[in-house]
Amino acid sequence: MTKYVIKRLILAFVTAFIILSLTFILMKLLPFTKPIGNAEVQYSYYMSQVHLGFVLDLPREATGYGERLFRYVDSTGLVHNFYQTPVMVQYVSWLRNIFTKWEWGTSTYIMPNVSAIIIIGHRLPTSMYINILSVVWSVPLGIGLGIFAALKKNTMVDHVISTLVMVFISVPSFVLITFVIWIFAYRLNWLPTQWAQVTDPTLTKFLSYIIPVFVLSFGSICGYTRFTRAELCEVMESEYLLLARTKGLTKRQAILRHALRNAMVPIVPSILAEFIGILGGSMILETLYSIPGIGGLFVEALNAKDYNVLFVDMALFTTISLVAGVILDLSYGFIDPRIRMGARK
Amino acid sequence: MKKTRILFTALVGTLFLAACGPKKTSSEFKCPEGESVNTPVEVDQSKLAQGAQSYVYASAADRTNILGTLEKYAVDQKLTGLTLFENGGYVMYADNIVKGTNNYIPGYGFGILGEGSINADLPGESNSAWKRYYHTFQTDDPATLNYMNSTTSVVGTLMGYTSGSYWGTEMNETKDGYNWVASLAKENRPIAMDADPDTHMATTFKFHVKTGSEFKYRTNSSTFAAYNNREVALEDYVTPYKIYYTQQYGLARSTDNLTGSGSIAGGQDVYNATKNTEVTDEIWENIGIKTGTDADGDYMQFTFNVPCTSFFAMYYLASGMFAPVPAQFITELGNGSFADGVAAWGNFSKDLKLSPLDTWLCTGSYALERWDNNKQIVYQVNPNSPDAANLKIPGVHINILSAAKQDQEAALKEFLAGKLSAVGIPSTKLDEYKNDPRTTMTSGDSTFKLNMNTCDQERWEELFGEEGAIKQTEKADHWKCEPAMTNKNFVDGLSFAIDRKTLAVKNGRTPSSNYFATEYMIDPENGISYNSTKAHKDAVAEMAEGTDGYGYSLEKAKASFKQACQDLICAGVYEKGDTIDLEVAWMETVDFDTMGNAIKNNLEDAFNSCDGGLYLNVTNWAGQQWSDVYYKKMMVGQFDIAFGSISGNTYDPLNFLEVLKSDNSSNFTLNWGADTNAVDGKIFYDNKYWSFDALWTAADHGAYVIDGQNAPMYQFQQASLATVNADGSWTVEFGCELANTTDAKAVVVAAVAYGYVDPLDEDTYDEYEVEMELSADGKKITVTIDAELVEYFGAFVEAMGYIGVDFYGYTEMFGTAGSVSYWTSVFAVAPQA
Repeated sequence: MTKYVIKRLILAFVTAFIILSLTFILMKLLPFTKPIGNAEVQYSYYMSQVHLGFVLDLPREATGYGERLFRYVDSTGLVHNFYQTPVMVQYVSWLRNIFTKWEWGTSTYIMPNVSAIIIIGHRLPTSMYINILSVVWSVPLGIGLGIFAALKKNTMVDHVISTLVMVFISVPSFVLITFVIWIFAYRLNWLPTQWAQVTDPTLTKFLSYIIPVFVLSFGSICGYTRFTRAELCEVMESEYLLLARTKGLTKRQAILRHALRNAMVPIVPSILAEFIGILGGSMILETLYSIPGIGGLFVEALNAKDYNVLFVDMALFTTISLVAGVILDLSYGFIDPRIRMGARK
Repeated sequence: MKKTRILFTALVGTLFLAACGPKKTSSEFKCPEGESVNTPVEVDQSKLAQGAQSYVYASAADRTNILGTLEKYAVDQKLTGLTLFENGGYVMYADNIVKGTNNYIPGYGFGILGEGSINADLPGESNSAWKRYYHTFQTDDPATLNYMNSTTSVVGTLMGYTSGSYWGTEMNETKDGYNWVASLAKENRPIAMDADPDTHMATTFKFHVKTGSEFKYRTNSSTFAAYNNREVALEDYVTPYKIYYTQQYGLARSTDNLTGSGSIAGGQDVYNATKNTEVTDEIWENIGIKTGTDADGDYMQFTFNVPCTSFFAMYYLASGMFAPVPAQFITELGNGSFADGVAAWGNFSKDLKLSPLDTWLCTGSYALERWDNNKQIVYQVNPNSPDAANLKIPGVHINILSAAKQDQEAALKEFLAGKLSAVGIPSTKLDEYKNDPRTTMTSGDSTFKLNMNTCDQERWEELFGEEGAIKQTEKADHWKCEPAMTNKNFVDGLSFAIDRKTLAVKNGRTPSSNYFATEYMIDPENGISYNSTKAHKDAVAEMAEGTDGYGYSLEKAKASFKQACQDLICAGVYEKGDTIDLEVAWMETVDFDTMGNAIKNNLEDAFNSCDGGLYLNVTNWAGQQWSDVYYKKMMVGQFDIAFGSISGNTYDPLNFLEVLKSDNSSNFTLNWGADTNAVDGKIFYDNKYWSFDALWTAADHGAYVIDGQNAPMYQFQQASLATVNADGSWTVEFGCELANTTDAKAVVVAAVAYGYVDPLDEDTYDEYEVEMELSADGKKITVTIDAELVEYFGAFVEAMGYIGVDFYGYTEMFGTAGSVSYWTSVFAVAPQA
């Protein structure tokens, strides 16, 4: 088992390295974003890019650097020929800084001069709190509704729950978010219209959790309900449950001891998978409710060409996803004793 | 009788045929020639402008007339595109806001913060201390106040609250304009030290500044509390300039102001000398920024590269970016390193323990009170500010409302919920709120236009073909120019057909058919908009006549289109029944709904109902990114019509006309067609004929003109093969053209041979001055590269076959010589076989 875990972790590391390297190279191979403006404005832009190491300022026209981005002659007669720094030169420099100094660089746009890792760390907690609360709220509610629907299978209650689940699972999240904010914040004025400020009263801060948690858990509740209902219905029709009942167990005992335990085998890993998403935040929700979380950071960094933040963001999610994948695989063994990881036949 | 009838019929038939025949013979019928956008008129050659020409020091009235002349030409030639609206629009203010004036003052606004007040609590603010603050919003938190290192305008806005400048503005007594007044300076205007008695222009200006007990810093930082109420020292005024001009700090705006009007003499030299070093006393010695103390106190003295009036000197220097800051503060921010301190200045610290509240010393009207990243930025009145006593609004609260990025109504919702003091009304809510008593109109500083490609195919290829002067395009990618776009009547029809008023109202903007936005001032000192001048009104009179005031007239559009159809059919460009296909390029597909479809309908409806025999089909286009309309369309000539906006210095409208030059000297020409350096007889000013480029250059900074056109003051020709002399040295001759008139001279002072020891290594570049001789007629320069140098660059010669030569020189106009600078590189100094 230990050997298996180590092997998986090494593989995860190699995979992460490949993903990050490809991301770096592909990102840097994107067409250079040229500035819009007169010659002086463009010169300013290119000089700042030179300082960041993304562009070379050569006194002569040169071959081997691709298309010349811009040429400018300053008032003292110095000629500036701007070319993109070769991608592999940037890549090697990037790797060297990480492996020798654990230096992932500072932000150039989102929070100038601030360490990219600190930025991620600064934004992560808000997203995590909201998402953990959403999971804590949605798991019991979703599973409970699923059990209830399964037990009342083919009754009016089941039909109502299943129909509502299908309806709400089909509503795009941005529609739901906009709708909820509009009704409960702007029309009824029951809840804050935006995420609370640090200086707001405690009650406002508490109330500002309601809309994001409710909106985020909505999809999960529907998912768990549907999944649990389906699994439980299948188990309840199985022969071993019939055997349990014929052995004299009450329906309650049969469901709690046998049906639910077996139905949970595929559901529990899905809860773990949900936790992976916790760290990702919700871009749309965070933007529309002005939550200073991590949700839109990747897109924000990508649009602003804030590469250091972008790559730390990417590294974080890659690592979490890969490690979570390992944990998920291992969890099957704990939940279902029949599964043994790394065991030989 | 029957024979008579037949004879009569034959006779009538013959007469009929005789009468009709010639009309059907195309060789005898001459089509009326359609007026092209670029049709020249006859020019009296003796009246072409010649030699050195300058209107830089002309009177304001003369410069206004020049601007009007250039504008009229640009409008007639369709170089300006078709203006749709200004970026001003409908703004709603909360009931508790008392404006400084109810009449919007272009370039100043309603005077809310300066002269206004708040007479009731804002209901949506939960913090009792902030209920009377002015509440506004931004969609993003830039996390910095350091505008020197940011190209984002929001940083300039945030910095503006808290950074003082030498001069500021205040509303005039009649509340219909504004005045410039001293703030950190003591005099209301800088004093010219070397003013020309005729033009009143000068290069050196002096003024006293507030120091010591007269002015103190403000900070709410506990970490840097020692700087709170610290007196401003004279050297603190110099520190920001030293930071700005030091190249090694890599600040994004350091290169903005190194050349041209408003640039400080010697600034470029300091910038060049500090690529890998901090600024030293020796480097700083020759820059045009001096300080001193006289009987009236501490003063600063600035020397500009280009002479200007006292007003413009004030305008150039009045920037919060150069508010004083102690060097010691910067060094402390960097834990002992000045360079690290510059990186930390105005930013969050690397570990986020410090915010801009700590890393910025306040000198403006407001001081930072809080900065919660991505949530809110709060300012309170700076009690140390000279303006503090006049400010009635105690603070400014900026909410970071990211929702407004996705939801264009988000800010309005916040306003209606009582959380914002003012909001622009989105187009989707205009009908509901534009007549609300809280709603007002504002003017803009930029116009949105449909830019046009009026090139014929030949002209397009000159500009963008395989050997294009602006951009080289492969044959397969050549744009197929729409012939109708070269017809003046057709383009006039396009202009008349657009209902700008309806379009602007729908989009919550201010309709306009003017090239310049209202806030472009011809007399910034007195707040006079160029659009209010007679020169402007004359320039656009022809296109405005008989329209709704914004250039729209369906009848005129139909008449122009009908004439255009006749021109185009007669000229054989189209046959009756043909369809003209036009593409209109937009920034984003959402523009189709807000503007594109309405304009498509305007154009098609007018054209297709003009009964001209042709049909118009307009197609809307949008790229994957908003900027595609610039990079993939307008800037590379791949378009018929394209939507875009640019803006310049609103205090210098004449300078802004550079973006209309067809040589793309501004790198931002968006309308293509006429060669603006050609003399076509349509610009006659000061009893001389000019090209657009020549008159613009003469008015902007002085021109060297030959036959009415801008001409280079020096030109070099590629060298013939070098002669290898017996001693191994090379001799080579270059042909040249150097200006040599009474008022204009070009003087070559040095030739420098350059090369690379290793052509693959940029670091091995080297250069040495070589012997040079100018022929008596000034048409030939002979350069000798000695044998030692030839040998030194041997590796390069071996690899590439030549050594390059640079020429250095200076130009002199009207007796004023420029500094010696690099002129050109001539590569082909190859030895004879």
